[in-house]
Amino acid sequence: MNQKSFINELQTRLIFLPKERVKDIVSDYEEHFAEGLSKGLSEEQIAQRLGQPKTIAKQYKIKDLLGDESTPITIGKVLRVLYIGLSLAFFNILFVAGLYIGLLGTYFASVITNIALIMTGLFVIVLAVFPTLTTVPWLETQSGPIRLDLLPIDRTMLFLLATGFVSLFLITFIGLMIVGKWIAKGTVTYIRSNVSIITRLGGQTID
Amino acid sequence: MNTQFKKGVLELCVLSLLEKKDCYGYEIVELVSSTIEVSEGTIYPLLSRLNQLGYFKTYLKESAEGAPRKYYGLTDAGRTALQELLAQWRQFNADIDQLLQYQFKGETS
Repeated sequence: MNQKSFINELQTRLIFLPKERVKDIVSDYEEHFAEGLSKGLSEEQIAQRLGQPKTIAKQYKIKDLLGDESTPITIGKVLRVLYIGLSLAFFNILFVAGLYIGLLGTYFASVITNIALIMTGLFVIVLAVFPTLTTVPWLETQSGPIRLDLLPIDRTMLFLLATGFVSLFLITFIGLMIVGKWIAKGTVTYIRSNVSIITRLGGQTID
Repeated sequence: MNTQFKKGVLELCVLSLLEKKDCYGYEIVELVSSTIEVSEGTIYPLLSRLNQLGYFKTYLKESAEGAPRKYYGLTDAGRTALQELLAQWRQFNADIDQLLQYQFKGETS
């Protein structure tokens, strides 16, 4: 495993920690790699001595969630984490899950519709350029193949219209991809904020 | 060695190293892992935890090799924690020694 894949995996596994904290942690390992490299070790050797990113990430998570192990984990603290976790889960299932599933459904429906519209447009363009293609068997109607070249349609006009149609939906498709990125980012941020609520409130000691 | 036990010992090692001199991460890792068999990756989570407990003051210092290094030094809280751990360690050692030298009364081996 080289530095890049080590850091990447560590980062992925730390996704539930606050961003600033992840940056801090990652910088420790980047420094470690830099030092090791300057001592003549290879990235693979350094990574091997560090151990599995999975194991390392776990050590950050456990203590971040339940506080320090040298300050005893009290029943109160565990109950508090449980309580906050459960009420958040309840809120999420009741209010957020429905909205979120609706949003995702709408989004994917839009993407698929958009792809279908682009395909249709492309198909019309092909027909406008090669009208004789309409004789392919699967386009035959009961009264025989549609002969586009015999229909009273201006093929140049048809071509231009279809091109405009396709361009329009290519633009909306790009827009949808951007929206998709926002949704993904929003999801991560939301999960992160939930976890940090549990960590912050749960970590407080009851005095 | 039992991992929980090892973790406690690691904490003691790190704190006592830093009591003598401020060190940067790689230095600590090298020193510790040359003595105790641990995967080096377990040291950084430990450092980060102790740092969050307020045992360390950290600062960046330029190095001759180029990139700045993050140095760790003990705070008063860190020193107090070290004293406590040292006392526990000595007590533990004394208890074990006593057990190792235990003689059953009235019996000859």
